[in-house]
Amino acid sequence: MTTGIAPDQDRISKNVIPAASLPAQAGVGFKADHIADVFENAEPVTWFEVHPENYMVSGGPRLQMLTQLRQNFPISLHGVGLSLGGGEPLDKNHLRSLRALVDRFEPAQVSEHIAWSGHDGKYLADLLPTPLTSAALAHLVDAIDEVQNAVGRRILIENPTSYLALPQNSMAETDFIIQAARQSGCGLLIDVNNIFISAHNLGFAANDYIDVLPADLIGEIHLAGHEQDADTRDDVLIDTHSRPVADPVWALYQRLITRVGAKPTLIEWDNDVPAWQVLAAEAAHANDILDQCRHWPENQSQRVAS
Amino acid sequence: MIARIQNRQEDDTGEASDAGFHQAFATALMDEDPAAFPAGLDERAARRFAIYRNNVHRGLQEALAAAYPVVKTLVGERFFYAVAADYMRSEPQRSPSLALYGRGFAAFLADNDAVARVPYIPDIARAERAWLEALHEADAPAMMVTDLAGQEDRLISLCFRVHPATRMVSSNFPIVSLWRANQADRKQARQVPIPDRAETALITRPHFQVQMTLLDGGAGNFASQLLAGASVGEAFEYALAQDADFDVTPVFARLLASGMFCGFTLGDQGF
Ligand SMILES: [Fe+2]
Repeated sequence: MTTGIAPDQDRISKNVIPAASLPAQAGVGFKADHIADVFENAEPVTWFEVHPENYMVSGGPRLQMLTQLRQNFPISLHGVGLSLGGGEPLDKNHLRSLRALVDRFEPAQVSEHIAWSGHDGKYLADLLPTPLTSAALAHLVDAIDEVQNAVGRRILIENPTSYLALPQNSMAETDFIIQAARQSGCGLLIDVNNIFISAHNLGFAANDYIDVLPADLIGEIHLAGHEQDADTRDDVLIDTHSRPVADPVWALYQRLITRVGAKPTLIEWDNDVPAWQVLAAEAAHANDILDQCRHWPENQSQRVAS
Repeated sequence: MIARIQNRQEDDTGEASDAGFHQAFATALMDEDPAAFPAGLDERAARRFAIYRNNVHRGLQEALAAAYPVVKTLVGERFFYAVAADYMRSEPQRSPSLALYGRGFAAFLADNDAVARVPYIPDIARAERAWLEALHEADAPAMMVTDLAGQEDRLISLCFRVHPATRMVSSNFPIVSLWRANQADRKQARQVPIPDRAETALITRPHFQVQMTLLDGGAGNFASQLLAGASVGEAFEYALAQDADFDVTPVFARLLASGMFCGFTLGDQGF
């Protein structure tokens, strides 16, 4: 359903200065349960991310809450439904709804996943694996181009979580995502937890993945918790967003930003959502690591250029 | 039996074509056989395909559970998720936004033989659907009683503009009483006996908060006429014809206070 935005009266810009970009500090995924804490004292969190699909409604309290949030903080719209890696044309209604939210809320960032989530016009409610092939790459680049034209701005695309390797894969995932960004002009949202999970599940070295990501493409970083699959026949990790960030994921994060410099960093916690203080402590941990990396300016400027 | 979905096609470059790949993957995801997987996966990948399948099914079924919490309570979790699995296959979701998922669920329940033994369930689903639609409907300032100041002499000629977030659901069953008794935050209310009667639910969203108001027969008749565009006088006559004892004053006050209207006109015979 397309959101019915009245021309000017609902635009956030009447009240709020547009955020040019996200601060290179910790943000968190916004949860309605935290609304009282967030408006009382959000420290150390300085920005919030939401899924635009949850706000693709005509009106009501959800949009009102997002309006209040945006009046106080920069926000990032992080989509889950564009199906950029799908086998069919993008959903034009969905693109229009996204554009309406971008116009109304003037987010500091717009991002999507390298994944598909629907086929034959049916929404499948998950982030499904895109084949790592030249044909899929060409399709992805076209899809990103269409989105960037539709919303009138550069977007970021997020590396997937993998549970299995598709038999037709013919290129490395790092090559695939870097080429997608270079060819389409978009940036990368690097989910370090996804890299850790995929490396574990598919058997590659997470450090190797982290070390080849170009600093100039990275616009945002995601951190989240994962869990071991209930099916114990197989040693597989699931991207549950239900736990604190694991220690080896923090270590990978530190390795990445020590090389590429401080980047806006999001803590994702979507299931078994904890009390605000627990989430704020995760954000504080990310800020500590970001501060450390800022204290090595010569190190950073030298490596950002590489 | 392991079901392999054969649909992989090769293009000129020897790579699987997008259409064949997505089709086979999507078909296996929604296959009734929980062991189905797209052809070409090795044993380990075939086993892990179940992770995607579980995510897809859980994503859709939890969205339905969030939209119909009272139906879920009344039929029990096991039955609810079994019906939800049938529903997601019979009425595929088209939009990537699940905010309004489950549009046809009440009708789907009405066609279910097992549900027919608890005949009020589809009407509860209609009420929950109306609630969800009201939650996400367009914004508009609700009309206040004070907006009618100065109109006292021509009240009977007034017609009302219905607020976008107003819904009315009438049932032969006590749907409002059942709905209230099964709210998660009102467990103690389960002790209250459910009256055996027809009930009409008026759902409105004053001050961004959805509320359900119980209307008895006369109030329901009166309100339904106003919603259909009748003037106050016409609606009153209609309700009076159904029930000679209909007392319009308190009903009219409650309807105005509910936020169901967003404005008024003088009707065609305004003076
Ligand atoms: Fe992520």
